[in-house]
Amino acid sequence: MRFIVTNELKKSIAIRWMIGGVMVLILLFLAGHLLLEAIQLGWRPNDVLQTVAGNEDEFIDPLPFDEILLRAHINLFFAMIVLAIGASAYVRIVPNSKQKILPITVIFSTALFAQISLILIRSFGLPAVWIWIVTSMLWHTVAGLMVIRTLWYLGHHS
Amino acid sequence: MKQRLYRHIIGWIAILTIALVLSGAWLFLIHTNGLSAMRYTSLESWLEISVPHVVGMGSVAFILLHFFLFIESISSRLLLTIIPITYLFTIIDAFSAFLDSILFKSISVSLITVTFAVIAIFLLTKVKDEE
Repeated sequence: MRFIVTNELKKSIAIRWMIGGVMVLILLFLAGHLLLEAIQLGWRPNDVLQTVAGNEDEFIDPLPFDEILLRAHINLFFAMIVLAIGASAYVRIVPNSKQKILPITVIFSTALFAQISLILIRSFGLPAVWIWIVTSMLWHTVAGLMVIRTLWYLGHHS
Repeated sequence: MKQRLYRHIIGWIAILTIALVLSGAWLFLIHTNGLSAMRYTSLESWLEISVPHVVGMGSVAFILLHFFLFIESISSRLLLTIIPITYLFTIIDAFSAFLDSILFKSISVSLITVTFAVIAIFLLTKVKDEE
């Protein structure tokens, strides 16, 4: 974003504090969101499958499809906003540009595939659950590490 | 190198936007049950849908449209046409559920979906052109 791509970063302590603040909030969002998903859908793959697809033997109803789709829709919105801000700050502040393209590709692609696999859990069962778990963990973790790295350089090298 | 990375981010934002509007349109089709069941019920139910969408669609529109400022081949006249139209469609879509007209709601959802999708696809082509 334009206000992040200012050349006055080294001079302006206010901008550094602002970016630092939003990075801390993004970090809290990533941790909180992952925790919320685990609490609502389940901590283990079989728990997630049972919550989303239901279990006839234990008389557990599946989540309505529109509820799953709504969750994916909301997640896509938050992922887009959070990753756009996080990745823009990461590119601007962290040096060594050549190695940055991989984590950026990983966070955006896994965030997208996580939502697609969430929608597909009812149709494909456990394999889709595993893809959802791996992709969700990846985009939250890699984005979190990028934010921590941004915060580090913001405090020490700007 | 930084410019290339920013273009990469813009490309991914465009892809996520397409997924976002498609999932929104899909949700609309599910909730309207084949464009027949959705009716205005109460102020509360309308606000429940409209309030997050006003800020959500506004933010997405802002993020997408501000990338246009970096594209030199777009005239400022065209830009000053696209920007108000996008926000107008956003407002119409947010208020359309209040009118109890499934036809009006369908048109407004289609308009905002197509607008965001076209902007995202345009950004994708521009990002690809400049690489």
